Amino acid sequence: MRKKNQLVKLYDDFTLNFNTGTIAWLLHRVTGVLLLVYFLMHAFVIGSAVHGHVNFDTALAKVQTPFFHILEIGLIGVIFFHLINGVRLLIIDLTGLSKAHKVLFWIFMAALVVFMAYTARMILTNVLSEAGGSLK
Amino acid sequence: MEKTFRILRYDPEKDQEAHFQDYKVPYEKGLTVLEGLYYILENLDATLAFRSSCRAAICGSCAMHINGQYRLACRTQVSALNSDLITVRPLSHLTILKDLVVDLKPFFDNYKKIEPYLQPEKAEPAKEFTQSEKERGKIDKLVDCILCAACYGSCPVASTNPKYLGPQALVAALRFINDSRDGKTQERLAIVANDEGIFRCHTIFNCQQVCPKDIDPTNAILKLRGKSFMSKLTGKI
Amino acid sequence: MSAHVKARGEFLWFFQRVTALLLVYFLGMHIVILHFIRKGTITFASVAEKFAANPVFYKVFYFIFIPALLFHAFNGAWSVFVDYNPPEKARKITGAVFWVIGISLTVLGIIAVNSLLGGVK
Repeated sequence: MRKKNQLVKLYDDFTLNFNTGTIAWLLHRVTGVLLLVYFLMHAFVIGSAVHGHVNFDTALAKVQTPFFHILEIGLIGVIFFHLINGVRLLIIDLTGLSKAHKVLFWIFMAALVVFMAYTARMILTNVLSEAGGSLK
Repeated sequence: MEKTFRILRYDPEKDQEAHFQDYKVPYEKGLTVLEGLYYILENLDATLAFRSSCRAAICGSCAMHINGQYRLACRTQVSALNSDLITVRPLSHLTILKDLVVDLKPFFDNYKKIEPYLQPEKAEPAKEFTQSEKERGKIDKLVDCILCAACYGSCPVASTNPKYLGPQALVAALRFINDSRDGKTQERLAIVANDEGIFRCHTIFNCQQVCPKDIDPTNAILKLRGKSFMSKLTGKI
Repeated sequence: MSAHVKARGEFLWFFQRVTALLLVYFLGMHIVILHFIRKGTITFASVAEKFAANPVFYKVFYFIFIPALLFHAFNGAWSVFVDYNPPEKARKITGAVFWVIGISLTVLGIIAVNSLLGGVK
């Protein structure tokens, strides 16, 4: 038989063990890698502060358009998923409540949805008021 | 009534790739997946290969992937699957030898690494080692493991890193660490406390999900982490 | 018993969890301060003004936050890397590269925070 590449292996494992544990693990991993990539770009932008305020302001102006502000909703979603799933794993690690992992997963996902609705409203209000409009 | 068994077939002497083959099996109340496989072997296709022995969830030979989860074929009732289509695949992460038979050598090699035999420190007593009810209670669930490798097949880490000890070997390690008769606790912790052992586990809980003996290997790994961290802090390992 | 086996990885595992807890607070605050209670465009001057209101707090805040985040990020990346069972040589090189990038970014971050604390010159 041909050797499978890593992506095919990952796909197989994901579909053959389709349950909350696998989904949470894969999302935790993907969001973790995305955050590392984001952080390197963030360090590049904020790091320009060492060259004085002019460079800093030019770099920051580029990433403060309405488009980027709306992308921030996604960024906060990625951060918050990684954070809340990490808290779930920490709770299980510290208390040994390994049998409760599915219940905790759904409780925390509900919290994520509520938090993201609040965040999206907050950011959209800011963006709209800067553009001279309002949500109402 | 008939049920369709869709089975992953692979013969290394004939086939380039594994492929699915369908069989119609007459259904009667109480039919297990293993009985279905035997029906195919005896009446439809004598070339089908699979492992089984005790038919009572004791030997651990017949773990395979059945309709979305790794299970023991012998104790999976076809009626409990609520489906007319029963898809059967061999265990993942192990080389397929033929059809549903996989090479379990990597799995057992990992098991051997944790030295799965009692190593008492005290001199052998005249009659026997005694254990109180409480001491026996500490290893109660852990000794139930039947080495079926369902956990190993379900673990995504075992897929990409064949050096990872895997859930079963780590359960066995905790079984000997918790055993009041065993004297090599710290040495055993040192074997599992590394990048190929307990720190490779990402608490995905698939092993807990599939274990036919309800052992909860994820919890065993969490306990090993706590124990090894305390041993490291006190300079024992 | 194999006496040569050495236990290692406990402290990486432990600090991954400690930094996770720290980040819950620090990253949460960072987002609230910079994204939620944001008025107008963020500039060097606006950040410097915010920092000047409470310089000791922000100094301590970012001096813990930046190293904790970098440790958590690169230890996490290391964990993903080892999952793919790389050869020993690749492990050594990648480990060294992660440490170098992590420490240099920590230094960069601390200098950047310091220059923001210094205000517009």
